[in-house]
Amino acid sequence: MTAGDVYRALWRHKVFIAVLTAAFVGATWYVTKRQTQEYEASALVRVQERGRKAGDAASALQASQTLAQVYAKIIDSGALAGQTKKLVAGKVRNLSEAKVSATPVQDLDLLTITARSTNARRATVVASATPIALRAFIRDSGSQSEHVVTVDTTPSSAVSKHLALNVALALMLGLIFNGALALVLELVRDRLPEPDELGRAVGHPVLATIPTLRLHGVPPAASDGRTSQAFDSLGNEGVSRTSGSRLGSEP
Amino acid sequence: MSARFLVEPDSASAEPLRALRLAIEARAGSPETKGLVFTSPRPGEGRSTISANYALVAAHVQRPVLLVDADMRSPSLHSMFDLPQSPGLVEVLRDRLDPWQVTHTFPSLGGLHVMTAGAPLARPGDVAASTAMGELLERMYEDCEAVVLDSPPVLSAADASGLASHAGTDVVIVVNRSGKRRHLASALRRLALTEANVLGVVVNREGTLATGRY
Repeated sequence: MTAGDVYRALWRHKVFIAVLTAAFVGATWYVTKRQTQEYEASALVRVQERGRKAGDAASALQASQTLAQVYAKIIDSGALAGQTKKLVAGKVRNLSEAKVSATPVQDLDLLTITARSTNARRATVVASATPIALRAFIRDSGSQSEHVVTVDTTPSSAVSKHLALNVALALMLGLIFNGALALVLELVRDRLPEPDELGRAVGHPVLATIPTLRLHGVPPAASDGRTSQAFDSLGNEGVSRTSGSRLGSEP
Repeated sequence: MSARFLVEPDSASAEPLRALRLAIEARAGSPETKGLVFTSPRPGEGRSTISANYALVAAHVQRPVLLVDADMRSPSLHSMFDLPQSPGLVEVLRDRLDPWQVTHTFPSLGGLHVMTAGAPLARPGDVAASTAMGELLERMYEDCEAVVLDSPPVLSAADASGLASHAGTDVVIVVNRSGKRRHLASALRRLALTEANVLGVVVNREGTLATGRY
């Protein structure tokens, strides 16, 4: 199959591809629109290891980064959920609905704690309470050398549903997938090549291409005077049965 | 009442068939070629309609032209032309009748002669390549300018190959646009085995008629 064959096959199935892709895009738009709106709040915290000498700044930063990674894992595991719940008790309900995650900031001793919820206030409260819960967790674990400071808290904001992005992705993936599907169908259907290529493909010329024709029945017409008696009795108007043995020149 | 299957010779619908006639004329194996076997890989590709209309268009230019329903398994020309199926080709071969006694002439169709298939036959496969058929075709080639034979599909019966084995007989394959490539390839392979002279392929139902202001 040459590039030309692929192009022609795609062009032949253009309606199929367009309709299926439109269905893809429509479904994506519908699903994205139906998604519940989520809100996200975050808190940026600094993790510091105390007691290091000034000359060991580089090693202190490295140690803090390692600690940030460890704390991120602890937060992601949900180990602080109980402590957080105690801290925000009475402020918000249905705390378990909020999702908390943490990500260390690369090359820095910072940690971003993110809380997601369908309720904006709940997300903010949880994002603010989690660093406190982390501090309490460190204190309870008996560590004296580690220190967590909240640098900044970002208030809740609606998380974008990425409608345009999702639709664009659906359009692109739909075109690719449906184009591939059309090519598979083309191979399975084993249809004839275009008349221009049929001759080359089968090794015999295409003598003619006959379009859908406007057809009619045998037109009634007068007999040519050589109709046999027997054939006339059949009621075939305009038809004669040739009675001679050799025609020679015909009318 | 006959079926609607013929083009109006003066209409735009006849133009593709005129082009077919010219292409066949240009590609005919030899000047002695008088017989044209119209066949198709499989049934329902429009073979009988194309052969009848080809004969009609040819009858307006070449005279006389004989259209023979050589599909003795599933004949259709008699119903298309509203003719009795019998007597026809089978009777001519079996009872040694004069072929012109069973041939119907249509003065309103350019004097086109039509021979129907005749009564059903037990083993039609034996007839197409028979000596009797060869003699009949030889006789008709002497009498006519062109003999158009509507034969069964190649992949259903060997009749087309049998008919094409007679001297002065070429083959035209009619394929529907929605037909399968492997069927056409198989049909051509089968015809090649008997060294049939295939003039070419006619693609049927390829879009709609584009006439514009013509």
